[in-house]
Amino acid sequence: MEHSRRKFLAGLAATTMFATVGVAGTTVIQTITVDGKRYAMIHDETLCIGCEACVDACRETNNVPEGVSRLEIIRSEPRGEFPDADYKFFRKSCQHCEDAPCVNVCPTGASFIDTETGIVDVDPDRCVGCMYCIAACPYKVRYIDPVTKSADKCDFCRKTNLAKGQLPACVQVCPTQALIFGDLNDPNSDIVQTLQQKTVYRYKKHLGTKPKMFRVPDLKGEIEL
Amino acid sequence: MRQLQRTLIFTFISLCLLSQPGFANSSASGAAPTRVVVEPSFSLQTANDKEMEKLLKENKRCIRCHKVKRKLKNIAAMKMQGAHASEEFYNNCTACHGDKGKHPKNGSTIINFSVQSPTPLKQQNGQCIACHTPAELRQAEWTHDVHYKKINCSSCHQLHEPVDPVININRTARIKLCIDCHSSVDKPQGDQ
Repeated sequence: MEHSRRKFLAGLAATTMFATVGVAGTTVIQTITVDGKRYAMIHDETLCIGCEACVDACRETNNVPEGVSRLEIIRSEPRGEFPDADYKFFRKSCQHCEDAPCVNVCPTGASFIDTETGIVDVDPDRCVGCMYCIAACPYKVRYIDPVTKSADKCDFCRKTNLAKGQLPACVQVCPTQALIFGDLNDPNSDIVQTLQQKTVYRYKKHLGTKPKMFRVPDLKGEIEL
Repeated sequence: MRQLQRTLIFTFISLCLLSQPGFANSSASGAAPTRVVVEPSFSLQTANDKEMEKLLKENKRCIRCHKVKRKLKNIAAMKMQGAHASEEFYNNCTACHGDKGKHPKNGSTIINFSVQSPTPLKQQNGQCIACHTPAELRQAEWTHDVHYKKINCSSCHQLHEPVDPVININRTARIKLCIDCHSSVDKPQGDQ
């Protein structure tokens, strides 16, 4: 079993590589320079109330089928005892890494970083569903769309709201303004202003993928200074 | 054998005593000290026939006036329905609202469940938590944990309706409930 699968995968990879290079002329490992905007997002965990309005707005706007999701809010275990218990919320979605492993491993060039916006996106027509990207993503945010059979994930609403000149659906709908979206290259943007004012962290930053999802930590229950 | 029995009895008594202070039963009429665990019925309120008689009498006093609309303060006619109704206890008003006392005169100790109520928030919610345990509430809905000290239970729950309107609402309606209170006036942040 192990042998046959390995042989199959190796053969598949070799074939697709050959085919891609032959047809589209892309290199397997892309090196790109983003020359336009560099879109990023802040999730302020101190403001998030865990209502999941963003989750539903995302599903509706981007027509995400049931069973898969581009965006999840993960609620922690309760901290403290009733009636003083509270929860931490973590946004699980694409981090739009500048050095994205999912893009680097894609054998067909379906996973790409959009040079105009810096958004990591997937071209469903090119995706063969090999799931390398799903395995490579350290944030585990990719899935195979049960309808298109292509890998998919959050694209900051690049093809929907952003194309219409609107903010991503999750940002629009957030009742507490816990999400801030904007261009890192613009020093006057809300996001850059906020990044200068608030303490932020990036999840799994040490992996060196340069994620562009910033988080304001909810430090309740931490050591008090 | 006798030693074991003694130990068991001692443990039982100390358990009863220990669990008492957690319950705001001072205002709930005739609440027997043994009302410790959540029971589907309200039968733990009374220990003997005499207490039961008193309880029924109290409840009948409530119904006597409240079965029709109170025009002066525009209070609709009360009809106990839903999960908290109890024929056995003649609607069981006092279990939540406490004894009639001086009501409707000034300075009554009756417990009123609403935002405008003169009853302190802690006492209002204390009435609910007397039966509904924190663990049970958390399991039903995690938001109980974070709202218990801030808003009164009656902000969401209505017990004089056939079905509590907040039970079994769908996901969209639930999210709307969050947004209704939590929305800030600021516009979404960010720019294209």
